[in-house]
Amino acid sequence: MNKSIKTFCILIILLFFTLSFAQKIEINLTEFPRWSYGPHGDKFGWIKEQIKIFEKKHPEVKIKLTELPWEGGIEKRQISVASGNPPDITAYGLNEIIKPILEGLIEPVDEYLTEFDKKDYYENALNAFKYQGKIWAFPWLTTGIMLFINEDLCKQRGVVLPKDGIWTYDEFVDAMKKLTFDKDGDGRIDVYGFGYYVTPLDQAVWPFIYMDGGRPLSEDMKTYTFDSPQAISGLQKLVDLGLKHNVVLPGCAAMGPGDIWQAFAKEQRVACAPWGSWAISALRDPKKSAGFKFRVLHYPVSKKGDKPITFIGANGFVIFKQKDTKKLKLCVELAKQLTNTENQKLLIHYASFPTRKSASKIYETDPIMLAAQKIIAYGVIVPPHPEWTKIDDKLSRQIQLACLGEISAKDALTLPKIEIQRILDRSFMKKNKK
Amino acid sequence: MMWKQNRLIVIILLLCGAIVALLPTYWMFVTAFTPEEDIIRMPPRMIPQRPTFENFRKIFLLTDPKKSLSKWFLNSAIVSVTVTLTSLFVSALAAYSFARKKFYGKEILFYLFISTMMIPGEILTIPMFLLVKKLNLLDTLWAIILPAIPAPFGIFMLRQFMQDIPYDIEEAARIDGCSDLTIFFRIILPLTIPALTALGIFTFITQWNMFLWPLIVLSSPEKYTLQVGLATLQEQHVRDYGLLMAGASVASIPIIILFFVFQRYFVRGLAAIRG
Amino acid sequence: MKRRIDITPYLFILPAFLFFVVFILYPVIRALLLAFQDYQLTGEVRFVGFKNFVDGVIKDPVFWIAMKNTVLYSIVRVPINVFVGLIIATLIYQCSHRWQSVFRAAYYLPGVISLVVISMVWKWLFNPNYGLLNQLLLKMQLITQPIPWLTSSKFALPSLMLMAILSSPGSAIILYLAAMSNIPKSLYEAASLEGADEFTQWWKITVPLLNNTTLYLLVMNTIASFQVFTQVYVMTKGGPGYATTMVAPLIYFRAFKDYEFGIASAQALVLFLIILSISLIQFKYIRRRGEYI
Repeated sequence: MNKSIKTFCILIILLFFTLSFAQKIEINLTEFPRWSYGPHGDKFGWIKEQIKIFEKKHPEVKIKLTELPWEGGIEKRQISVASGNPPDITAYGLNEIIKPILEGLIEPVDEYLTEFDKKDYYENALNAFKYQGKIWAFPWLTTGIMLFINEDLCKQRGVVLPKDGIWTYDEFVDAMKKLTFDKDGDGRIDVYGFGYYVTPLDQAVWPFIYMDGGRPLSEDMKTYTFDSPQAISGLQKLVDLGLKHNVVLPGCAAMGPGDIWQAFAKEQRVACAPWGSWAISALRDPKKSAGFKFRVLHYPVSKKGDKPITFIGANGFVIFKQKDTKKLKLCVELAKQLTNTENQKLLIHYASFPTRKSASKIYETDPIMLAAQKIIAYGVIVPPHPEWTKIDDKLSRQIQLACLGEISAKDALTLPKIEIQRILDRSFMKKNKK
Repeated sequence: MMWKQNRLIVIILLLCGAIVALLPTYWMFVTAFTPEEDIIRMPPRMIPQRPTFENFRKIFLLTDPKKSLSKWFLNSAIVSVTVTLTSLFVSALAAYSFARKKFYGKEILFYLFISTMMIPGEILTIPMFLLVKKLNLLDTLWAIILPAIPAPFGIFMLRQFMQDIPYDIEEAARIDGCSDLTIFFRIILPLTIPALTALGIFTFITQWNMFLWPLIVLSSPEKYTLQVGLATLQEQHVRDYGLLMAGASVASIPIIILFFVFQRYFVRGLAAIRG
Repeated sequence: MKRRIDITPYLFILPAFLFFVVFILYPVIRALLLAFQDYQLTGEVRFVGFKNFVDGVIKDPVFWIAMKNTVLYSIVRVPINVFVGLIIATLIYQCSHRWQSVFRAAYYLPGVISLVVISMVWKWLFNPNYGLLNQLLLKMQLITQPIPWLTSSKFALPSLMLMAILSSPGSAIILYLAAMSNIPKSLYEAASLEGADEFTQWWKITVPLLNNTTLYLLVMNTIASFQVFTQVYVMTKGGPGYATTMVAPLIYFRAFKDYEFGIASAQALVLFLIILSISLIQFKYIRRRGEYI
């Protein structure tokens, strides 16, 4: 008898607690490890503090943070979205949410941007999240890819780099040739000028293909245009680096960023390699790099006077469709807090660039970051096509084969044409059906 | 038995094979003890030049109390032990039936069990996720434990093994009037111990090393299993190989210990059969 | 005489069956149904008949490339792994108990380490410029140029096969050892008396009596081999080009990168049918030898 009364009381107490918790509005926030924050280097430290600040301001809210690892985390988030269990708020690049946008799963944020916001955000930051006329995320940070070069090796081999970081393809080849040499005199070349990698969804070498004006898709994204003579000549220039000028680490196209990083940053067997801006802080870390002096440069241009080009990725906080307007307002406020000027200034720890003008002076005293900022000012994004992952996959594989010398540059860009055009046509028909 | 004279050759051959087999494992441990600055692949080092515990320190000095390593360890242990014990028992029961009994639908049922293994697990992820969600088991260890208990490969393996057990012992017991359950517990199970321990080790290792499914169903860091938790320590771009291998080493130690423990039962079981 | 249906067999199976139906059969059926549906991210499903099969299987050249690679890989990996396991187990069985324990541990332990880590180590071993394999071969002057193990379409798939072959068949060895101890010594004694030499004894007695274990290992290895994923994902991502593209990763990326679940399910269904057919053939041809008097 006593026992059942006890259980009953416990149940009542539990019920009371769950009810009191149920009154709180729960926001699901999913985040990845960022920079080390706080005395113990917690990579989720920043977001946790932001959560505390927000919960203090809004005691009726409880924010549940899901800490994702980089390994598998993207897939996990994707599965959550695909099974109808999306987070309420998380950081994405535009390309990752095209399909969800088309399914009506994302909240457009135009109406929540104040006049100040619209003026404060860089134009290409807002454009990076524009799709079908609306903006779909609160822009947070931008990164971009650029060429990194080992200045110590340059000095050793008498290579003079362009002051403004802009060089033509021929100047680039000359420099690479000087940087390809036999270090220990055993008759085999130990150091190569250039090393790169070709992996799906990574555009590390695409600026070469873009060099002469080649573009994968037409402006309206309805037609495949990568088999144009300009694209082929661009790819040919990339391929020639390895096959004609022999300045490229053999087989690197099939190796992967990890191997190339080892070669470039640790072993200094590669003098120049393409990385995202994150590499700037990594190369200054004695644990991750051999500690040599380095510079960042633009990708080479076709001829003098041409505008350089590179790829940028922008990340912004996205809010999934909410049924409860009160919750939606809170999510918006949270997103705005996370992307406000003060927080964007903290991106200095993450070697990435703020999307707000009011926060962009953080790198004033850092010449390399300033140079990087200038480089990504010329950045473009990949075409925001809903089937881009499929298109990119097919192209990456062909480009890889061309770089390895197994097929010609022309074949690499013409072979996938039929398949890709079919994907484009089907996608266009699907969009129209809706 | 065979080749008594050439016993030395056999041992040498096996030793060479063992070295080849163990090489990757050896390098894993070497890398675990190599400081991050020294992890260069060329020339490959047999013995770390400046061995350090730094990588292990990184793992053990997780500061956020929610993320403590011991909690991850405990979660992994709970999952692995529960699944192994339950799955072994449940599979053994079923395997006995398939191995020894004649009943209607036996073949079909057995093939049904086996055939589900042939579906690539990846596409089962979403239906299983939806199921777990419906059962309100998201973000609990049950979401990992329950789906792992029915183990067709376990039933398959034990059935094959049980089929080889001689009938006479069983017949003798039946004549003596023993029920099926008694025969199962007193005769069949003891004779199946080598297979059971092999299956047990295998099941434990599979559960212990599982990464993707626990990652998908868990969201609170304090519920993370070891493999998932260790992954959150890695950075996005530059993989910290020392940390990775240290984590893998730490994760493999309990299994190695368990293996040696199980080995004894395995051997005892073998002796019981031979005797 | 009344014929009572013996329900004991069913009772024994019941616990496993219950778990099975809920946590395996139900998701499997749902996943297979998805092959005939179009799954939207909002959760809506639309029945589309065989359209996914047409788009994802018949009209998709990459699927067939992946299938070809996977079949080739399996044809090499499965028989060799099982056979090597048998040989090694036989050799170990000859040794004293102490050596047996040592080798059992030595050959099984590599399987304890997660496949991800093993793949990373092998990827380094295969590095054309400074991986151990090329370094050794060059030093021993067996080759003059470094071999592009994973960086050439020609060598990539064979490299993965090589890795599979050189990986220790730990569970095969353990199982064979366990099964070998089930074989009564009297059989060998009788054979010796009749003048059979040791090899004949092995071939005519040991191997056939291990059929049950062999069948299990063949089927399981086939299933695992056709579903190979981690090695491909860590080491080559299916490259160079499509040289190491395999079916399971293809299906996975179709579902979770391209968000095309219906097509991924259709491809999975096809893969399933192929594995099922091969297994049925294996079951048929490796007959059970229960009685051996």
